[in-house]
Amino acid sequence: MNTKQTYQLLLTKMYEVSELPPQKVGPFTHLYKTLVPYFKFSPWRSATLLASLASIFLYFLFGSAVVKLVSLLQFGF
Amino acid sequence: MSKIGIRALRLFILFGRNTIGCINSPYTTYRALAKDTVSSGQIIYILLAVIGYFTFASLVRTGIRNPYLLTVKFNTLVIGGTVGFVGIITLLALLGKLLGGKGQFRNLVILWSYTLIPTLVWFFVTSVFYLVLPPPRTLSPWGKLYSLIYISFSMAVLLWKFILYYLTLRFGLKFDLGRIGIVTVVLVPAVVFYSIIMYRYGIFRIPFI
Repeated sequence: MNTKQTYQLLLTKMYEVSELPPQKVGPFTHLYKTLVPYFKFSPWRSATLLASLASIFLYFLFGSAVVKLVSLLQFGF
Repeated sequence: MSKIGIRALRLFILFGRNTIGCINSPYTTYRALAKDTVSSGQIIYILLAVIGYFTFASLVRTGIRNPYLLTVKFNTLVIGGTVGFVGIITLLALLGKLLGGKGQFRNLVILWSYTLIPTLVWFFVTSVFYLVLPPPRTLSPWGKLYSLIYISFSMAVLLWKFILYYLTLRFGLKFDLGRIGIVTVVLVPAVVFYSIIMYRYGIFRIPFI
């Protein structure tokens, strides 16, 4: 790859990065920047873990109501 | 192979790659999909998958004994799905203009079309499990275990949908989190209203969006 091509690639990358302003959420920016990478790449890992924990939590909170909810959802398509 | 065939195959490969990308690296995939050079023809496969699902759902719900009811069911699903799809895209485009979004309408359509993949996955899996393990669930240990797995699956797919929705607004309209929040606040009542209408007319019990 010659210098001209490298320069062009760098320009494209710089344009891509600068096209979107960085995300800021006030005092939560640091927390946001820490959490977001878990959902940017292979989010199914984080999603599976979170969803499993949440469903167990829901079961302990609502008990058999979760089973009724599933029956309702299964009729929902 | 004819030119049309080659183009269709190329678009299919593109669609397949982007679908896998939506699963493994949605951020990179959506950033690439938001570029102006992306071919919009690939979304035809998403629409075909949706039509395929509606056919399957009509068959599961009404069976093949009565072709008239089957046709009516299929048509209502198509109309309900189209109203939801077009309605949300229109609303997003309008809100994009109002809030100073920078993206193109074409890109918004492509990005929103890919958010239908989690919807399709959930509806298809639910329909198949409706046939394999028909509801209602019981309070037996197996019933509870199934319920926990099903709820986990549903929440994971919902989270995937939220990620793709966020990325649609982030890359499609170049919005920051504040404006994404404003759009969501406007969109939620619209979705609730759509869901009630669909439920009342017996088209979708869970909104197909």
